[in-house]
Amino acid sequence: MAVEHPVQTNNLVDVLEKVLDKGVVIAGDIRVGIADVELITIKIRLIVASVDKAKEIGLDWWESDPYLSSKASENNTQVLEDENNRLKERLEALENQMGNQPEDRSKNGGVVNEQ
Amino acid sequence: MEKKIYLYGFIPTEELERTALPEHEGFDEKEKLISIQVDSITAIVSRLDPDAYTEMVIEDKINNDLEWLQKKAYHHHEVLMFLNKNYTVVPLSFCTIYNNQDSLIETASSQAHELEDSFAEIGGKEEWNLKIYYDEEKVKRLVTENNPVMQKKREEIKELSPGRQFFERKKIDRMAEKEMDKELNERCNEIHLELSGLATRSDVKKTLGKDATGRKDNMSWNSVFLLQESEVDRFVEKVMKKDQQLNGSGLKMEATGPWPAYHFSNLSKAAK
Repeated sequence: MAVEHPVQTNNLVDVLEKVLDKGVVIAGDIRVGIADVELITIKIRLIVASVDKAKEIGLDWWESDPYLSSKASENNTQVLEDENNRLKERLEALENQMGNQPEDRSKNGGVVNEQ
Repeated sequence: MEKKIYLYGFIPTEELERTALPEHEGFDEKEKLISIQVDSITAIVSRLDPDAYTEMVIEDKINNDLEWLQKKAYHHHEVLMFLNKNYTVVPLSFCTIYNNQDSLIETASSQAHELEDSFAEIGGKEEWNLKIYYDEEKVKRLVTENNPVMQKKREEIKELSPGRQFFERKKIDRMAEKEMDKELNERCNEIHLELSGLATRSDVKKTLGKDATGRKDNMSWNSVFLLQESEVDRFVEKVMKKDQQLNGSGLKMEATGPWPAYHFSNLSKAAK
């Protein structure tokens, strides 16, 4: 477990969560409300840190985010392609089964005659 | 034109009399921290150039200049951390600004009782945060393995055609997800209740997504505790012990503190 002191600069989300907390209210003449702490944090993460800088300080989370990394998105495409192929195979198998049935019937003239 | 006032927080005047306010940079780099006494309470502020800090400018900066926002949010926090080390402090939200000193004094006077109550509530106490994270894959696997119904289902579908298996597996996955959520909630709630026993007050907060935390694991719990200073060691020890017990379960506890009492010096609550 990590017991950390809040001065550390890496806990951006913790600091923003506290500082922008809407709970503490004394109205100022100017008090600019911030809509969504989570959204702001995400935006700051995206904009402030360049990719190299982010790696340096360990903020390279988007490497595994399918929307942000082409590498990850290749993996994602692969998964979809696999699923697609699987579905195509199943569809073919089903079509074959269905295709066979009327043929069988026509052979027997639709009547099962067992003697 | 009179300078505007950026308000960080309030401290009891008597504490400032014992320990003088050290010199520190203000919200604008050109300014310093100053104190404005309003009877028994003292506001810690810094002055702002009224032309450079209009409502429009600030609103625009907050929404469009995220580098500025980050820098200034850290500055605000840093000042409050430093005040919190030396005084009992009621921290204010980021960018609480008054047009002039009179306006600040008027507000502070009208809220004096609530502020006094708040000092009494948080004095000699520390605010701590607890976040619990989980490794989704691991927790889900453990939940499935330990659930006889799901295990039986898994065996049963082996007999089915590949197509049916595919759909049945999806069903089991959904079931596993539900079970996982239930399990996480129960466990975290249990931990929270146990730790709350050591606290004067506690609250459960909204969890944050991975995009915001920047972590690979998910957050399953986010809570905040107000602890007597004498209970802090016991709290930290308990968190460590609990965390050790969770070893191998895919859950991980992280406590942070002491924070300025951002959460527990909510005046509207203290006033009740």
